[in-house]
Amino acid sequence: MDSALFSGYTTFIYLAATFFYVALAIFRIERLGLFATALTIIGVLANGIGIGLRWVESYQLGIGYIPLANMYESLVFFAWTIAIVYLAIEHIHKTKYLGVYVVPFAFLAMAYASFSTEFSKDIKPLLPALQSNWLAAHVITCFIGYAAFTIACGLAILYLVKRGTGEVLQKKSGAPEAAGPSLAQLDSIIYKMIVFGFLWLTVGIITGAVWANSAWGTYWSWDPKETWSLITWFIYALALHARFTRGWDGTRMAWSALVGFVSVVFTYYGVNFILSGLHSYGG
Amino acid sequence: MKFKENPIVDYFSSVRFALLLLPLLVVGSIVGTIIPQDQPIGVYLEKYGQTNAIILEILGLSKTYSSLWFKALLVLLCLNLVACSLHRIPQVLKVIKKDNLNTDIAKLMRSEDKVLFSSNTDMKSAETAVYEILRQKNWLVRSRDNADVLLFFAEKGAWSRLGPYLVHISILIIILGALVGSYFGFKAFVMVPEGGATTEVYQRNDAQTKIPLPFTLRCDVFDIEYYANGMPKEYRSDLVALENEKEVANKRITVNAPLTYSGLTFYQSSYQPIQNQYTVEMTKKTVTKGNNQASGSKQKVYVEAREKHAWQDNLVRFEIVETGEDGHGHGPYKIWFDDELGVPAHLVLEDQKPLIIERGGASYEIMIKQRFATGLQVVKDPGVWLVYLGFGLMLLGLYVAFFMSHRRLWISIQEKGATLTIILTGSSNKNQDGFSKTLEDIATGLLNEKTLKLRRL
Repeated sequence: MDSALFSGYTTFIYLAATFFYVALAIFRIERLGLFATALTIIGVLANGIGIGLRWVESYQLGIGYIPLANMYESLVFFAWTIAIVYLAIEHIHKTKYLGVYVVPFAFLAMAYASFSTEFSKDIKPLLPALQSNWLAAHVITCFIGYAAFTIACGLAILYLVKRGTGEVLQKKSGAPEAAGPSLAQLDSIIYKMIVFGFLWLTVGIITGAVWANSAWGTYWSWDPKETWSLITWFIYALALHARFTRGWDGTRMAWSALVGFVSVVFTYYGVNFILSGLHSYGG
Repeated sequence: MKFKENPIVDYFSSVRFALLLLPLLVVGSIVGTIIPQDQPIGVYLEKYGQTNAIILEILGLSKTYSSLWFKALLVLLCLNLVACSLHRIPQVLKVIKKDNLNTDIAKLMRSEDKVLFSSNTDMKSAETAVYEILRQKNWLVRSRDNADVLLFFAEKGAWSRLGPYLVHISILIIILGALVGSYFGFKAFVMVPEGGATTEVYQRNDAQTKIPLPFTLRCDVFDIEYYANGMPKEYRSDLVALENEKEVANKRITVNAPLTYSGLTFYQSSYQPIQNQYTVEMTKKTVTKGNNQASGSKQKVYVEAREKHAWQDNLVRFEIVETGEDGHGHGPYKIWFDDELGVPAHLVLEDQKPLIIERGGASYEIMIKQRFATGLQVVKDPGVWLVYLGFGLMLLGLYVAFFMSHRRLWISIQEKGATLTIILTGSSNKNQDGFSKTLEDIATGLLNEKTLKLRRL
């Protein structure tokens, strides 16, 4: 049993979970939802075991580091975080109708990690700059933020789809409907995910700054990754201020979540593969 | 402050202005990540053509983040933050300090979240019971008797309304810290050869301004450790700070572990092999006949290849005759060696691997490696503590702003004949759904209090 095998399993389990969530949305049979949730939980376990095994394998190779140091490892962790945060939302809001718009992101992240040839999947020793306890703190906090923003984006798509079918946002959120959450509930979850993500992104940027200062003597150098994380931070700060002071909820909040997510993707992926800078450890 | 009186000042101190500044900062920042920064003009000429390159230079896009317009945007954002805060904080303080016991009962009755009770108990015991229940649930309780109505007011988290302003202030503190760092500190660079020392460093600007150090910095050893696959594992330098030739600080620095002394921090930043120079460490052990005791002497020298070197009054002589290239650019070495005990010899040494030479009455251990200069980033940043303080306040402020709420409760007790009418109502500035549960919890608490003899209406 090795970590790559578990990553492969995880990809297919998330795919299967996605199918069940889609089937639930179409056929509206409660039991399909149970399968979907069960599969997502199994996926989270397999994903976690995969990460754990890779950690052990790195020690067996005499390198020994927490597997969060390159594009492949971060994608696997990203998928894991999305699935865990999603399960928490499903548990808190007692609805399975959101899975269709969230679990596919976990699947896509895993599939990209498993099948892409753009980056190496080997366990490679850490460059001297990465050998720091800040690595784990920085990557984990950033990716919790990214996962929350991804979920906000998924739910924003759902919101816009529902809005497109003519549903109207009611100010007072009622009990969950059979057809899944109301627009008001979706709006509230999207807002909460953005707040949650914003907080973790802030911690991520701060841990990154403190780390940079302890390794290079400069907490901010306008390197493209740093700059893009700040751009993302500005975009969500803008969305939150617009909501607080200009009443940007509902459709406009959903669009903000989409724009924010584009910025997240560029911060995460675009910077590594399109721009170049201090952070190009991904390749 | 009376911002209201001037519409222009009013706009610049509004959140609406911030909602304009933030997108501008976003666009400016994006431009700076797309156009390569801090390159010589030639790069832009080649990449964008002459006209575009000139426009870029004029707009400051080759140094976006230090350009006048970008700084101006940041200054405006700071001023806006200050103005917004000065404008809003007094209003928020007014809400925090508001006399909530001066609330009209009719207004309370209009609240959506309310619970009505009736009771047969007397006013005095009702008052005590309600007070106790709220106190037990950690509410800050006040009450006022308004002739026919006894009104309780209880609240939690009033100060949490200041959370957003704490975040704004933290941004100002971070920027202040950055300014202190850039005006009173510097970022500099120096290469120190192994075995060498320096008393000055060079600022990272075009002029590379010399900055004298208040002490001498010596590098004893620079070393690179490699993984089995040839990737570098660790760069390290043994640094010593000297004042009046006395050692005052020393540390083996690595990339993530710098040396700080007297306000300056030295970071392992780069390295350079010094062309044609090698570090030779040689130990000589002499065995004295009779008592079988070894006496040794050791020395470390920096030598050039193809030059003879002498040791111990010219008794021991050696020369690096030839240097090879291994994976990392040096070794194996061919050396010529001679001493008073035998005939001259030619030997081969691997890089950094000690070789033992037996010469009758003595044995030598020789080790050769490339001589390096360590590249140190030298930073003086007296503003960094402000930046870190700002980070801490920002996290605290965000937590307070998003996860704490100002919850207010009113309970009125009204005497109507032999029965008491009790109204429980309240509001929260955030998370109204969560607050409804809190209200329900208090209603249950009141119902469970036997002395109150409540009936829910």
